[in-house]
Amino acid sequence: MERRRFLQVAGVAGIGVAAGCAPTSGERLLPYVNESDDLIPGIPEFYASTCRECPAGCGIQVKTREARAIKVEGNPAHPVGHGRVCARGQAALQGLYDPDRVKQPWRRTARGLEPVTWDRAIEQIATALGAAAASGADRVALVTGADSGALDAFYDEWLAAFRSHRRLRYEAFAYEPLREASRLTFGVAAVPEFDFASARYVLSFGADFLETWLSPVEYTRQFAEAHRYHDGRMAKFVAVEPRRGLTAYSADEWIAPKPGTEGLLALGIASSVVRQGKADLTGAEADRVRGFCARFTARGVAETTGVAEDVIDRVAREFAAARPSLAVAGGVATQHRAATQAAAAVNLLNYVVGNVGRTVRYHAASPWEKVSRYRDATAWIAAMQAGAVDVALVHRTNPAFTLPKAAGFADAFRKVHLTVALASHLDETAELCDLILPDVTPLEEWSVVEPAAGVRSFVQPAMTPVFDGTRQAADALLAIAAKAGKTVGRGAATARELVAAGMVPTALDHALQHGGEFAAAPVKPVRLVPDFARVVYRAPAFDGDAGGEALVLIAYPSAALFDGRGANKGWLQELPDVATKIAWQSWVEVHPDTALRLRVANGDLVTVTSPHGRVEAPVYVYPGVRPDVVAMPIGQGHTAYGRNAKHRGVNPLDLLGADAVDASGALAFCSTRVTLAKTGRQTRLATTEGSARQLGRGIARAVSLAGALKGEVEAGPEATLTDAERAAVAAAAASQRERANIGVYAKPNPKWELTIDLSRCTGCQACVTACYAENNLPVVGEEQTLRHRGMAWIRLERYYEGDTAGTDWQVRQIPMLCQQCENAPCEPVCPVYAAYHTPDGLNGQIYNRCIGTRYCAANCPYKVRYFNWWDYGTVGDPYFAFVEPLNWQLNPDVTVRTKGVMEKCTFCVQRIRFAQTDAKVRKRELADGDITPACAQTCPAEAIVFGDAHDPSSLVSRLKQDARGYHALGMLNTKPGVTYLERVITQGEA
Amino acid sequence: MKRTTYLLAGGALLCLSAALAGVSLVRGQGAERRAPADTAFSAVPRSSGAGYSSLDGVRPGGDWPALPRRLNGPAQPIFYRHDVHAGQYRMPCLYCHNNAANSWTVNLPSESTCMGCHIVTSAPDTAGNPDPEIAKLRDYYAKGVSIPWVRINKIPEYSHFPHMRHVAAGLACQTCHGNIQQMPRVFPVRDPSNMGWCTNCHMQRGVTRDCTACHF
Repeated sequence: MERRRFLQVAGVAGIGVAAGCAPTSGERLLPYVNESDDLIPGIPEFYASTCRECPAGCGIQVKTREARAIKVEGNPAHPVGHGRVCARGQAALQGLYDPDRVKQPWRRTARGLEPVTWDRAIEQIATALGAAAASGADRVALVTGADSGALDAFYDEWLAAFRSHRRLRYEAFAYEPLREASRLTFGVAAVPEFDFASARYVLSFGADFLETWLSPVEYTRQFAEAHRYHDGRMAKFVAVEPRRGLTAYSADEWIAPKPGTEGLLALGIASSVVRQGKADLTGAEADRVRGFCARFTARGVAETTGVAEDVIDRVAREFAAARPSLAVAGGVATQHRAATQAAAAVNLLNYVVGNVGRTVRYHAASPWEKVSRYRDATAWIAAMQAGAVDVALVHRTNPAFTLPKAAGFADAFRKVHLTVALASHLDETAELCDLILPDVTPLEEWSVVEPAAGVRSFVQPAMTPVFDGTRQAADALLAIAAKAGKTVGRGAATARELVAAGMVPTALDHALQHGGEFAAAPVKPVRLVPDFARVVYRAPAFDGDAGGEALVLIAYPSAALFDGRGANKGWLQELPDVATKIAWQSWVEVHPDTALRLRVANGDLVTVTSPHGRVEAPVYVYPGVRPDVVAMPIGQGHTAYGRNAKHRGVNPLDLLGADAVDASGALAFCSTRVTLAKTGRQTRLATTEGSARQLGRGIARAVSLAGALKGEVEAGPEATLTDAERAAVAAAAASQRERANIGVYAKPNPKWELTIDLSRCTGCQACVTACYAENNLPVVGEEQTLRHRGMAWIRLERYYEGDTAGTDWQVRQIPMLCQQCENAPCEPVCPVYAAYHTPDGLNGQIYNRCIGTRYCAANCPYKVRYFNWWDYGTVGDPYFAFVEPLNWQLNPDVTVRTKGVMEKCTFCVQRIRFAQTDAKVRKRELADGDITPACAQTCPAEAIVFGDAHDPSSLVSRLKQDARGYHALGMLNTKPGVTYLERVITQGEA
Repeated sequence: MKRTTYLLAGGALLCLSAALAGVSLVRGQGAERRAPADTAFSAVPRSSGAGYSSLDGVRPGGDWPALPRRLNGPAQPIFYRHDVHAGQYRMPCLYCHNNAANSWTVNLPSESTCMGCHIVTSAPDTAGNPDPEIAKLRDYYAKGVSIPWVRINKIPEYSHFPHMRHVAAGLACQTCHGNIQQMPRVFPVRDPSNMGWCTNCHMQRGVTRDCTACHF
């Protein structure tokens, strides 16, 4: 028989068989045995808690579905963060669901790690503690990260029960120079609270307050409040640092003095203020200050710092005129041997114009006072080396990674008889320990912390622990103490009881529901101490050769990886560094002139050698470093800590000397020079950068303040259209709209739109990670990033503007996401109508219709459509992105896409539909602000606003009318639903 | 050549009829072709007129409806009879499947809901032994084990169906799930991947036909 006939017959028979298949073969439904009174399956529950991904302590609400935490959102009632969360906070979920978590207790033997029971481990520890206490005092060490509140007090009490006070709260970034500088100038050894929101001029000396410094979310929010263009004014921001980082991208002006001379520049500015008669001082104090400042002449400072005299005088004039102003210092990247003196100089500068007590406020207590200094850590190492420590317990800190290798931590740590890690992840320090007890993560524990004066912020579990074998560290310590026969905790038997101690149930409930107890903290007035002049200002020393070839190394904290603690989280590794746009890798930033001199180009592998160590990293040519400086990000170079972190990149802290300290006992991160030597090998940089220049496309626009005041805007290419062309385009658009205005499209529908205010956006990428969490975005990894197959639905684009030789160039940043074009180029080309326009103004993408021609992505001028090249959601795929239990985090309201399907930003349509259904069922109208996409919700700068453009009273309708409003690539007539508001830059004199 | 053709055609016909028979086996005889007019949730079961249901003459109270000769639907771990609970005793659907009114997804009743009655009621035989199915339930509950019910109704994972919106609009459960109150064993009445059924109703009532209403 013929083949064709056979196929016809076989086809008919086949259909008959197929139609008989059951729709759900074999799937089971498991009901609850006892249902919860509060939990409605399908409706999320929120738990107020506190983020512990860094010491800032922002208030969060953890969204749970069916008792699984799936999203971290901000707590609007909380004074730290005010409802906003940074990328690290969003990524806390990946720490919770890390497949490489410690799930059970381990004991280290010669053969490696062996399982041990909790009881055996507790017994061993209790015995060792008893012996240590019997041998003498301070033979037990308990090391945690920065901590405060009830559990912190309990740890001290626990330690004292074993006759020890050897307690360390070790943080790599401990801001010792700020504390010591405050003591030297004001007699108060504390870190003050800063008020960026009230400032009308911000002068930063290396403080990365938009990234990792102190409390970055809260300070970003405040800074955006002041720095945005509103009512015809904005605060000017001048950044003084040898390497232009993310924070300095928001600066109106970048000044790059010689490395180590920032403090001197601050004094030069203060002197200039006094000289110009603009100081806010009286009486004897004024005389003392004037006398002190006399030696810092503009000419002398200019010579030493390399900053021109007229610039010094101008900045001084501006700083004194725009009151209240604010000067900040103390960033880790510029923490050199004279960091304390630099911070003291900035204190003086603030004092001279009267900022202290206004934008610089001291309170009775600050959370940083109790944090140990680097000097305390080295003293502990010396004690261990001398055999004075019998038992050491380490909890939530990783000194083996963040201390310089030259400090000899590992060696000394091994001398301790019994080392115990209370760890949720197997980091470098835990790997050294004899016993590893599985801790819970902050999303599963009870605690209360005091991140700011007057703030008691509660931490409560958002779900039962993911892994049964884990126990909260405080509970483990209680059990150990009980086993050792010690009474601690004042009757509390669990961590929860420790937290609730002394609180009546109603007060505890209220605190848990709102996130904590918040009270205004009284400001403590301070005055300049009479002998402030005893602080000696001189340029810091750098290790290594001062002669021509050697370059000062700046090791800077990564906004995503922080001090390395974020490296185990795929979302954070996948976040491109905002300056270099590189993800998953280490690099060394080299100025173009230096690169020319050394004959290196992007991707060339070089050995970076200091007197203390050597690492190998690829070069990235970057105009944002001084020619005599190279920079490397901190955070990579782990030798443990999970599959995402292990053996990836290099750790620049290995290049530091252990004895490089400043006057406060802090480690001088910026203390050495390095030489670069070509290896002759190259590597590919996993960069997501397309073009570093806009090439006249008018994507990220900015206008000068002077221009904005006159109503001017930076025009894009659409300005070159003639009136006739403009009319023709408008007529075509109108006729298209008329033809499309049929059926349901003609009914009154909302039109969902976004505005993004570029004068607020700082480029922090919190929106990117929030989107990953909300929309089940897969982490594609380094290899696929090299192939430009990243899946981020919203990305930050960074463009340079101006001549990048020197410091006079601008950086334009723009979050780019699907523009939900009314006139979308992607819609007409889809052969199956998977891409289409919804009646409420969205560009819909229907995954089950998509057949993967990728024509839509080819047609999209914004390049915001992303293709699933692999089956990221299917077990067994080579790039499976949701290894158990990471799949617990998946949002059940959003489809997990399969291979061959196109995806893109949907304006969080699931949130829109959820809110619409809720309103319909409850018979109420939706109000402006009821619906917030994940990106808008988390943005610390409040740059993104979402709403219904057909509602004239909505915020988005109002912002769209702003004179600064424009459409990206507007000349293409795509009619985007995203309106950007031009950034405003104060150029020239403020 | 001709003989082969006839043989193949005959074989195909056989396959086809077997397949169609299989279809009806799974879906239940006389599967609904038209949605019944809206009724209040499980009112006294209206006679379908099809003449196949043994409930047609039953009034609440008294003996349970007799089982038909052949049961439709897959066997479940416990032989739970909707025709007794929802049919004869007229328990509202939302009594057990309460999340249909307040959530996107619908729940199976928790075992504590079942035990609300069955901690007392056991339909004992003359010797006082509880009905074996109720005994199974009590055993599951005592052991704290979830009953592994076989799933009947599931829409594809790339669509999201808001039950509460449809319940709030006054739709009877039977509209999509069939006359559950007459089913000794539940069987699927609609093909959940047949979007045409959904869009037909939406068009009739003039509600949204937007894809992203359910697909996101």
